[in-house]
Amino acid sequence: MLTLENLSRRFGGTVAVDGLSLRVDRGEIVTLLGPSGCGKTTTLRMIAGFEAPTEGRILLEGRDVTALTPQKRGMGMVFQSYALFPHLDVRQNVEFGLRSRGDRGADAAAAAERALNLVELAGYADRRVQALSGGQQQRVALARALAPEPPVLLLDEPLSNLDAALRERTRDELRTLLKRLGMTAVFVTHDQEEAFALSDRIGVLSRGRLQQAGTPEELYSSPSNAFVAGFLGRANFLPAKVLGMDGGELVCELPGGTRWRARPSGSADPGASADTTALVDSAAGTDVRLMLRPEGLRFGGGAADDEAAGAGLGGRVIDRRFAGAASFYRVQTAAGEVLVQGGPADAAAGEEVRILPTDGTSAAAFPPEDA
Amino acid sequence: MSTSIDRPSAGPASTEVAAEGRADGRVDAEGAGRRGDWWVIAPVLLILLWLVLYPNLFVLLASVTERGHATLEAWRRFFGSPAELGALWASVWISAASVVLSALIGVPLAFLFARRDFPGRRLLGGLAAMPVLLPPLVGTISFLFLYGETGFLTRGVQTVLGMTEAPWRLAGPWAVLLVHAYTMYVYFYLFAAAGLSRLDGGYAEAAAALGAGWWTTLRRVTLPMLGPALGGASLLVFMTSMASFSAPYVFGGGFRVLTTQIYASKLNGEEGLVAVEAVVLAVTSLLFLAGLRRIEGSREYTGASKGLGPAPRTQARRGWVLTAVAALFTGFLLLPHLTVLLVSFVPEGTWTTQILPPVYSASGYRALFTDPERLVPVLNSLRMATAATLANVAFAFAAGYLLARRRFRGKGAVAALVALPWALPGTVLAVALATTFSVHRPLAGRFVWVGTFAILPIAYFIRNVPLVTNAALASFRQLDPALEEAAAALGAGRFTALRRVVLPLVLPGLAAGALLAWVTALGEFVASILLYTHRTRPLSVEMLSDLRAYDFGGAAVYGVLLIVLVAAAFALGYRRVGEG
Repeated sequence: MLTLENLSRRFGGTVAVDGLSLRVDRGEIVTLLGPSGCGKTTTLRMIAGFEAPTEGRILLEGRDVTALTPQKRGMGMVFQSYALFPHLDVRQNVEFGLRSRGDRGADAAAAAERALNLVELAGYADRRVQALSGGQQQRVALARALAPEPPVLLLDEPLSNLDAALRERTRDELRTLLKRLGMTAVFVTHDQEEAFALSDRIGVLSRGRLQQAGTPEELYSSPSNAFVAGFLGRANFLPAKVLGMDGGELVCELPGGTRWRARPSGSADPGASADTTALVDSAAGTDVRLMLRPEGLRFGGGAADDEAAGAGLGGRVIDRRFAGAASFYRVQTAAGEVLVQGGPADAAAGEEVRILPTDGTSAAAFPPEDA
Repeated sequence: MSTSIDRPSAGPASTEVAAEGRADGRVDAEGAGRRGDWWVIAPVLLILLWLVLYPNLFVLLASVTERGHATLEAWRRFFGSPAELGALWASVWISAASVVLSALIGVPLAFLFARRDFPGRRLLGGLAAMPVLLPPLVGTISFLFLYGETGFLTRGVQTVLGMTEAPWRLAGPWAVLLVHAYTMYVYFYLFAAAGLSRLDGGYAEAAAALGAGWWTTLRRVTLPMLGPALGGASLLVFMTSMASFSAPYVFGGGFRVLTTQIYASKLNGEEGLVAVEAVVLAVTSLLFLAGLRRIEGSREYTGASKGLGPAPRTQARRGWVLTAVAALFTGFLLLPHLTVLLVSFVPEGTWTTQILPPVYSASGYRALFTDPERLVPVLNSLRMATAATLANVAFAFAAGYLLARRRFRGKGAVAALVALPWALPGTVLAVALATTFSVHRPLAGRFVWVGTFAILPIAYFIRNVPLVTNAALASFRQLDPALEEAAAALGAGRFTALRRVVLPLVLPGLAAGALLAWVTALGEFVASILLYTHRTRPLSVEMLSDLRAYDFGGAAVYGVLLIVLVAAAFALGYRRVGEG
């Protein structure tokens, strides 16, 4: 449906987007996720036609649209500031795209009405846009973008101006609506939670490069590099040395002599386009970093763990932070500070503990200087 | 803001224009140059170079040549003449004194209305800005009616005290200073009031919590934070005083400042000396502008805090005392307006030695419609001001768009040229136009416009370039660039987006600016008096000749007409701004 081929954009000496390739299938919601300045908005603006790529091509349904103006591409776009025309009322805003296309009269009115119905603002057509709440303005912006029935909908952080509670609800409604319409959409955000909840697939960007693309589950469980691992959720990075291979997994030794098994990074995601460094052939003695999520760790204790006691990472609990559904323990170990997720009363501050991977979890190993 | 003075005030805003050229700003707000932009850039640049810059070069040239030969004779005469140097010094010290005096009136007044609450505060606070409504010449003439040798107050005092002669003569530097202080304190008043209303009350509370008394708070927190506002007002008053012509012209007597010296030299036909004086006045103004900018630029305070409102007004314990004081003061400020109104009902030749005119009738107003000769200057001014303002709007829309939205080579130069007419006194402009456009050399871009109906509208246009362009620029800045992108994404072409989105949103602000420019042009005097001919005479010049012919009523009728038009423009302008 929408294909980005080796897209680059340079502003003077700075590279905003660097050789980005991505395919968006029909009816798919793809999110560009990354910290500010990673190039996600520039990418979206290139798709819309507001920025010309320095290199690369943009294909819409197989047609090269790289040289077309925004007017000729006809993509729907929802802006971060909504960019509602303040001198027009809700109906006139929603009809704007239809009228630009030459649709007038009853057809345009009906299409605008349909779009307003979609966002449940049917009764608001004659309101001034400034008189609406933030959430309503956001929905008008969505209706305006949807009214001309664009092939692709582009959304630039459309939820960032809403307060937290409204943001979550709007997010879910937005996904439901887009799925119901079978809309192909590219969504830009810096909020990983939002990306997880909304997307079919996510492309993680950093410093203008696509680090990894995949479903939310793939990215979370099998990040192809340390940036993706660290950006999506909490992660512990522990220095370790490779001792050898055992059944496709690495056996690594942590400071203090603890031995854990680890998956070499990238091995679970052969389709990853970013420059993943395969560690499969790592020789013994190579330095690596092991990544473990806090929920992938637990405290050892009790008879069942006694035999595995040697495998645990010893440490002292610094403090505990209560976070509702779970509690987080900061533990000082020989391998550095480790965050462990547990129950409300698993350990007390100052207590000596042993940390173990939860059953069925293994660490992911990354090269040491991969950031 | 000020039509009350000899210069359209685009002051604080034009600071932005000049700054804009340097800041090559955000990538998303300013598009890189497109080939199509040259259709806009070329005419804007052409007009700026041809009408704003080019004539000034001829003044420079005229100052070092005589009948085609290079000579420094005129410069030697200027610097060898005590009278010339005295005029230069007079311009500088009068301007500095005007700043001090205006600050002493305007700042306390702003504190009074911003920090104290008393009955009638709102109304009186609004009335305190009334001098804004007086076009410069009208203000000056009203002072003549009030405090002049035969003025109401002068004769009143004379009669009460039984004196045989007038108790004072309104002439010389003190008279000029009085008029300046009266018309220019408004800048300090409005700027300081705006500054105080923006000033977060939290700072004062923080200072109080740290143990500072009110004096320490005022000295160490409030006044320093008002610095930028006061600096802006100082700059404006200084530049306005340097350019001031009406007051020294009417009240100066033997006391000459540079602007009146230029006028006198011009009447004497000393072209070389006129050019030198104009250059000196321009350079002095630009030097002070640069100097004050430097001081001002070194301190910039942006409040870090958000949320807390301005410091609350304290309820004065004896509110009525403040009311009485404020009412007395504003009453004094309104006297000139009332005077002009009263005198406008005085038929020609009926008011001679009485304190108050003995006969009143509306004959002066009727003459406007019955005597074609009385109507000519009104129609002249209306036509010339309208033509100039229409040109201003078209130019400002293009220039404002370029400065706010596009990046291109020479943008800094465009911004500087847009601000230049603000820094150059109207007298200099008039001299420059008279020098440049009095010969026919089409290939050099010079035409004989002096003596035709073209020259005054061109002068008005140039003088108002900063004001209207800034209005347009401010409107473009407020316009979210995403709106234009949204229109493009929705399929609207460049022209459609311009017509359906940009124009409707920019027009209100631009119209408000244009309205002010229009009334400024209607009452323009400084450049007009050097460039008019009998056929093209504008309102202000006719008003002066009425005065010379002792037709006070006739002059006052024109004065009232101008005041009403200015007031209407302000009312409309503010409503427009309020809606947007």
